[in-house]
Amino acid sequence: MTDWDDRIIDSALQEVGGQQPPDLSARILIALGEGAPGQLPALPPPPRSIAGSTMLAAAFLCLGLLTAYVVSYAFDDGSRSTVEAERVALYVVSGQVEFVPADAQRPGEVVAAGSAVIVREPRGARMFVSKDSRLQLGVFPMLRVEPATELEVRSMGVSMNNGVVAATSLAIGVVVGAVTWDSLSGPEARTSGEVVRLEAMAPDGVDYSVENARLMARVQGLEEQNARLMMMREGVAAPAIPEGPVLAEALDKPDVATAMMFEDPKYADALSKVNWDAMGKATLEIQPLLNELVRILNEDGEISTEIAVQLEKLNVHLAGEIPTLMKAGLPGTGPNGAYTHPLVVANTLASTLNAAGKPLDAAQSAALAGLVKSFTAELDGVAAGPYEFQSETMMHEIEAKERFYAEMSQRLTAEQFATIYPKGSTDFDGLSLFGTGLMTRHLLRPIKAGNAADFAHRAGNRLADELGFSDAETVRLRTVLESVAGSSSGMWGKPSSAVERKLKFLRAGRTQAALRNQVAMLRAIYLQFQLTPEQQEKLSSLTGVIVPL
Amino acid sequence: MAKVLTVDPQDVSQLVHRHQAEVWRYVRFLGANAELADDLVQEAFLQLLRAPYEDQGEPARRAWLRKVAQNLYVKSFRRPPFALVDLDRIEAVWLDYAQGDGGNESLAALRECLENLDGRARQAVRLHYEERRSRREIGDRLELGEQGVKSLLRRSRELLKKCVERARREA
Repeated sequence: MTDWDDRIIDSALQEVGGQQPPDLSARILIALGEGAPGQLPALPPPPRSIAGSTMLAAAFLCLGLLTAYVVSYAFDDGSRSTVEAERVALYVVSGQVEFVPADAQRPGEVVAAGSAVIVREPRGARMFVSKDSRLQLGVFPMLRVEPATELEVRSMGVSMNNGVVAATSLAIGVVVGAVTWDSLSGPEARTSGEVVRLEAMAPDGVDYSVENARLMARVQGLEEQNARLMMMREGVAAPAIPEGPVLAEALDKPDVATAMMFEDPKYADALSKVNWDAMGKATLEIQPLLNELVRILNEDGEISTEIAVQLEKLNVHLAGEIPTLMKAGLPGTGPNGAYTHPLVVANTLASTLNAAGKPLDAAQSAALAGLVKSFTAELDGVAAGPYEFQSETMMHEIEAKERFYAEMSQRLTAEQFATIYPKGSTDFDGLSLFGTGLMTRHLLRPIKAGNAADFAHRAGNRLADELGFSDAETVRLRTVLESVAGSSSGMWGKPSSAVERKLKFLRAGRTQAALRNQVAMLRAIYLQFQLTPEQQEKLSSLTGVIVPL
Repeated sequence: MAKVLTVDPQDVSQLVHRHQAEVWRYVRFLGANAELADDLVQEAFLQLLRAPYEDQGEPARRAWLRKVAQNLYVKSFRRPPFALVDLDRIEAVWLDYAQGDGGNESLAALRECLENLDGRARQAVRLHYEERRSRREIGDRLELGEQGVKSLLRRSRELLKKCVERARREA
């Protein structure tokens, strides 16, 4: 093997380890719009981090997000600057984080929502998250941290550009648990042993509001220009000033709590703050787009960027209500556990049907209110249930919610049903906004395996890593897993489709089969291995669902 | 007849989405760190979109972007970072890896091969590439010297390369 053969695998392994190609389209578009043709900025010599145009792009992406900041002290002037001290702030949007500096012992400092975790050491600091939390660092999408997650700072970088802090990055390893976020191509997740790389830029004290406003105007101008160009290409006269979409107008009205039809005194205060009207309108627009995304992927084998961008924009409105839903304290696994709670589902259903002009009638509302009440009680029982594994709690939660969805849909007229479940939307778990696939999709850990033996080998390696098994234990683990997986039904059907591989929308029912298999595997491990208390705790807290694709 | 690329924002966005990963991977393969790779990719696209470039189709466009990014990378050093006589070899290794899809299939195959890697090789790769541990830290964990870790990682990459090539042949 030559050095270059070695390098190609080395760089590929770096990518597998977390250093992935970023989406540079926004910064390229902005740089393209701002620089005069033929006058390219000179490329400065390395090492450097992110150029000025990146700052613009970052600010562009940062619009509307909570801003993280970097503080640095005592650097000399000129292009060569020395950072003597720096820190990175990770803003806690909701939930709380116990922060333990490197080399310190627990308990650490508890940082509540609305405050920031200040990371000073470039390596070794740990963060313990006991309940669902959301963290923000600059331009990176909001991170959702699952309960019982432990994070460790792996690296921290601050770049200087002419004496000014220009950028920062923070690599966080997931020791136990899971972190998820929404990216352009869909939900992303990192679980135990994986690394999340965050980037941000915004020197402390710098007011970006003017720059943000300028960039917003610039973005609006580009969008209008784009619309006009597209119309010209199609031979249609361009409108002078395009009006904003009706949905956007409705969605942009903040703090409008409307149309909460189903209530529960325990959660009423928090849920009354949700903009149900906006939720319904966004849901109504998102579902056909999701179906179209899948149709195109099935036909062309490619994810439509155009639709993905539209979905991203609309999803912001749904995701924006998640903190309010989380504050209500509804039981459920992860943020979408609250989103799929019957109380939320029923209200979203009602507002979606209102938006479609097919509202629930009084009899339907009364029937649904009864369903919500009984399933809320059942789910409270599941959440408090005596289950050994978090996966098991999730499995029972999903089964109960699936029954709720089935009962709910039986109360709809054919027209209403077609609005809520357009043709094809129930073919895949996660494709419908009224299904439990929303809860599980970001927890799926696909591995390529066509039979139980392949599955056992690869799943065994993963679980052995999680549990810190020796080589001998790993070999024995594979035998145990093969026996469990071989007798699981619903796991070894048709080969996986592009929709399953690329979007992690599994064929209907496959998620539940994988989850049942997972619980059986965990139970077998628990019974057949002498686990330390730490290993037992890890086993109990595993929520990632290993699924063969 | 070849057409001149337009600068319609929608087209730009699609063009960037189509090629950015490959160009980024290519300059990382050449040796650029992640941040420099971002800059090089941006500059390469700007040159493509601003220059009077006549589009000869996708393969030519991809080669053009790689070449520009490579030149920008080389120019960012006072002395070339590698012997320029290696350029043909570099291109051959890249084309073999990228296989016309920018490296997506090879990367997927590598992930699969990693699942099958066992024992100390697996541990070393995981500690080095996922946890970013130093050779010394890995050595302490695996009871090896730093040179031993270096050799183990190189052997592991060799195994993985063969596995990727085999997987692609079978596919």
